[in-house]
Amino acid sequence: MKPRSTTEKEPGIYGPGLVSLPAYITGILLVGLPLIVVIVFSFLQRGEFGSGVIHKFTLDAYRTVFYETDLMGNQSLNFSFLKIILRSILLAFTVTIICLIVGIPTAIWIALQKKTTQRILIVLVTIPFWINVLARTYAWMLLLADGGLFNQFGAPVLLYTSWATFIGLTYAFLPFMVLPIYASAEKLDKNILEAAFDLGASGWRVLIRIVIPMIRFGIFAGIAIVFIPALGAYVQPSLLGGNKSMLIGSLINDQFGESRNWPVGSALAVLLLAMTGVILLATRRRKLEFV
Amino acid sequence: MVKQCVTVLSRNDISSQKVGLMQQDLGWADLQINEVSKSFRDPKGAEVRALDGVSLSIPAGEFTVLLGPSGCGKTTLLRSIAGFEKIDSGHLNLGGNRIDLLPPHKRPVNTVFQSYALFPHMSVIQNIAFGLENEKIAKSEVKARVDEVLELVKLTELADRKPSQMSGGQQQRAALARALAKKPKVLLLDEPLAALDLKLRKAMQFELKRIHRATGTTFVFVTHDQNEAMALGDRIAVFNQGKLQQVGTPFEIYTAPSSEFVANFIGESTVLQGKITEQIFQGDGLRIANLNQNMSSNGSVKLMVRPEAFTLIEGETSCGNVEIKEIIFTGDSLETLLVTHSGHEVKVKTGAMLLNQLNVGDSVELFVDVNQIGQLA
Repeated sequence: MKPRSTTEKEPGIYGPGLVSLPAYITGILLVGLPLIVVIVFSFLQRGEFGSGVIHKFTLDAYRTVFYETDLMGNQSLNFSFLKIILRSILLAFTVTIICLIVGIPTAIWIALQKKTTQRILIVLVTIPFWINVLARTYAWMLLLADGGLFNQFGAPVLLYTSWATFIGLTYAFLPFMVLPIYASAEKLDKNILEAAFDLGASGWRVLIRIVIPMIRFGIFAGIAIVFIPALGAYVQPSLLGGNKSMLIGSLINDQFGESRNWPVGSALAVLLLAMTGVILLATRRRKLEFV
Repeated sequence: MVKQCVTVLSRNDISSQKVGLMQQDLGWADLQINEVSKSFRDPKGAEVRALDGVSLSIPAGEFTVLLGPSGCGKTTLLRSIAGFEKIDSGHLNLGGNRIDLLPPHKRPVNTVFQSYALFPHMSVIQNIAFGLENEKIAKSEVKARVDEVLELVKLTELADRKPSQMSGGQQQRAALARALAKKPKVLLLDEPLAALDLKLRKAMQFELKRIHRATGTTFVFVTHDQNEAMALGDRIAVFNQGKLQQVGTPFEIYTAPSSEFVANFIGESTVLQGKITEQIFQGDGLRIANLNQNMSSNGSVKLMVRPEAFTLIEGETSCGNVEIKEIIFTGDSLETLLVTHSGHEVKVKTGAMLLNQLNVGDSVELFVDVNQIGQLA
């Protein structure tokens, strides 16, 4: 056999030549460009009639976020934005924790069923995706409203409270927690679980010492794809929470909508992006430690 | 039974200096398997009897091999002893205590899995200590026992490695150490050598024998490899289709198989069917005189002859003339396939020096050592 020429190009992970071009175009057009636009806008001046921008560099947008100007023109630090950020983080954090507490046992339980049962259960988990998120959120409004199903059974009216936001977000993001954890739990070698029981471990110890460490990558993935969108969530806080307590997602939306301040909206978006970036990097470092 | 214990004890004395700790508080406990049955449903919904009224007594300290083809029930029996399968009927007694109703983590038995089933996120030490931490044992005692089993399986240098950083053979040792650290009354081994290559498998067989001697623990070893069973077992229990076919020492099983299945499954053999009259067998185109007197002569009989009991050199009892169909030279011996004039095939193993004297198609006289002929039920 002829030895392979060393100049011959190996098909790498990006595929040979032009095959990966659509991926690059999609990435640049749909992710890269909008991101650059948002970042650039955050450093520009507000348009004269509100919408749009004037192409002049200024840090006004960031100043607006962090400082407030009183009637006399004095500037002082403004903590309301910080409060909104903290409230959003707290909500996203709580949603993530509840999704973990419900999602981990659910995913493990599904993974322990027969193969055919597993397939049916996973389809059931993904059924909510078939319906538009707005339609689902309106359905929750009916359930939680005054005189709604829950209220008829004696529950207090939760619609337009933070509880409704919380319920709506948990409901929306639970499948995103279950699926990646299931994906790693399903690969668990059943012999390893048997070995753990065989060595005298109780069910609880097997879960804590063996199962959870072995499905940790699924758990990390679940945390990332629940926490990050929950942090910027907009639909549920505005429809279910009635925008009573402002969250960062709604705040950004308002800047582009009613407030007509695109640079401030962009600045908020950039700050949110920076925050999620920091969180992602933190989880990435955790992952490396475990390898 | 007493004799059995005595022999095991004396064996232990030889190596007791090495593993002093292992032997303390190791109570003798016989494993009794009484009329155990277990059925499964196959994917089509039909009932499959994995174990069909199996009774077997395993004396303490014995190395017992459960042997049979795949699907014969041997693994199901092992998993039933471990507690991973619930038996439908029957009893499992260990040292007089019924264990078949206990959950796996309460049974004083431990398993070495075919896939090793080491915890991938833990080092060897952590894997071994995991089992001990489930008991209420002092930290110092845990460390002492971990060190001891590591030395026993010769893995001390790799103690801090993760399973993924070790070879198959090393993982095997780690799995063995993890199970032995618990000082089980019975150690269950589910085809533990199946994934190793031939050379390593041979080496591990010796290791297993050494470790068995050193610990004195009862070993129940499942395999489908008859050579492995012969090499390892004090006794072999042969299974087929959920039923126990025969129990005996390797010598008994090889020389006096109780059925055609056992004769064919363990080693090679030729089965001859015919009639015996006045110590003369006739059938399948052969005639063998001077048979042992204890052979029954009622109606049709089946005789079992191992390839090495036959010879093509004059001197033993003659069986008549046969034709050579195939000759295979294996280096140390010559395996010949012969056909009698009635068309029955006979397998013969002879010394390699006959190679130049035999040709395919030749007619030769076949001889047999009558003392090595077995009768099948």
